[in-house]
Amino acid sequence: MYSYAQTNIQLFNQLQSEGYSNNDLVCVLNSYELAMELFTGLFRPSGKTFIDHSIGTASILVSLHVPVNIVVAGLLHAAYVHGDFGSVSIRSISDDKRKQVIHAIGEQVEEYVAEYTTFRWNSQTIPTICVRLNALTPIERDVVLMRLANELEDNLNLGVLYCSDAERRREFIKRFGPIMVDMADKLGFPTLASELGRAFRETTATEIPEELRSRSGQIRAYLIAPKSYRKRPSAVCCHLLTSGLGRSRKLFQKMRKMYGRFLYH
Amino acid sequence: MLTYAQTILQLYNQLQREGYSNAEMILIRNVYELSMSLFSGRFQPSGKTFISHGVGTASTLGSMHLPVQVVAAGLIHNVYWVGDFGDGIRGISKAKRKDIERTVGKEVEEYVYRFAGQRWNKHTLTFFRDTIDTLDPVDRDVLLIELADQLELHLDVGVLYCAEARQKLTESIRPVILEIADKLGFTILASELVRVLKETASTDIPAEIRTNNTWGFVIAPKSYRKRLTVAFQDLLVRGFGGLQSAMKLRKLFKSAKSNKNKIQE
Repeated sequence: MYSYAQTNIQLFNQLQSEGYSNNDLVCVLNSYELAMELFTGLFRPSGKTFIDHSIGTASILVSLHVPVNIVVAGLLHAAYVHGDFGSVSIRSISDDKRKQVIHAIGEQVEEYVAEYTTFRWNSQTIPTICVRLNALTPIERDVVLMRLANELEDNLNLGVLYCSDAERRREFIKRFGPIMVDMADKLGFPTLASELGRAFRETTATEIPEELRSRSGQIRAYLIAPKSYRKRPSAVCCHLLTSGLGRSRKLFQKMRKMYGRFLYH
Repeated sequence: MLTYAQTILQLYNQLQREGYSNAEMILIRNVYELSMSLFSGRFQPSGKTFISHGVGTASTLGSMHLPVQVVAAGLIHNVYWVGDFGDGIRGISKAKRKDIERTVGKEVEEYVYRFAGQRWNKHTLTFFRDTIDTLDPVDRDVLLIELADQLELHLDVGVLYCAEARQKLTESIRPVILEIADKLGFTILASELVRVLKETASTDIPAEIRTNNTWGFVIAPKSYRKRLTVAFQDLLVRGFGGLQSAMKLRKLFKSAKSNKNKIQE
């Protein structure tokens, strides 16, 4: 059973022992410094810090001896979805965000992160991806590898079981775990396949005391800001606007449904 | 060689394996949730999250099968000097103590309070080494927390990733902490300290990935800014600190001048 880095210093030590060059280490350091800024205060639904999750994902990729570009992309894979850039557009890619990321890690690596963000990975697409693996572009195949590393990381140390929606996540693993293991094999990474298999088996077979499950009630990553800080007024306005728009959209959809039923009857 | 937890999931799994009960685990959960809010955004000089450091310290104490109150205190051992209570003030206060006690209980808070009350330098550690047999049980446990803290700082040669000034600080206390571990009767702790100190002394890391940090630091999310009251307080403290330095310089200058006059006479 492999043990993966969960801190930056463990990751640097691992990179050195796996034979990555000093230049590679500097690349990883630069991306880690960006990760600190983007993911500070952020926690996974299990309560683990988001930065530790990013490091773990990168560490899994290091253990597969992939090029450092993919390792760096693994470290920042969630930058556009969860990273706090301080800008108005929160959970999406924007030109401004892309510029910042390119400045830190270069265009080639940023492309992986952008592709990761837009690549659909859910219960509908996973089976299709597995079937179409050979038809994917090289970047898409690398992104699938990153996705699998992300899945493994989530399941390390029974992480999924400490989330408040543990049962839903366990069901997802039961249904799609074997497909993901198969994908790892087809991509040419049998070690990853066996690690995924092991982690998924542990997740589905282990019980943990329910009292230890996260009490946050969050099913996505969430922020706990330092108490001496408060949200900037611009961020507050943006949040109100987007949540208001979201609510209005839902209301409009509801009304449309009701009107449709009314017409039908 | 023992391995220590660096994430809360690893800590939960470790403590369950070590035989801690569900009720004890709930205390750890509560203390961890407190640490999430008080140490959010905080990093060690090496760039590791402070939360990971707290978890590592608790894990070290857990590996010695100490009472769960000591393990829990390890999780938040430096809360009074490093934790962000939202008031911008460092140090112990009655209000903070009440706050902490409400969540973690009197016993755990007492450990944390006594830990915060000490300056952990060569002088005080030497004093503790020489008076170990006269210490009460709580003080002995607090000393163990300090040793666990030191062990954690040196894990994964973490100290080498900090500025040289920080490395020199820890170098000066190394011989004393080894003697204390021996005298306390924790041979495994003593041998683990010897191991990590040897590793630290014999390892070289590339200068390019070393940080310039001697002390820990905070990175707040970019969407947040410091509360105005705290920012204003910081300005006052800095101004006061500047005034104190100016007065010290003036005193030095005056005494140098009077010495010069005496010589001339």
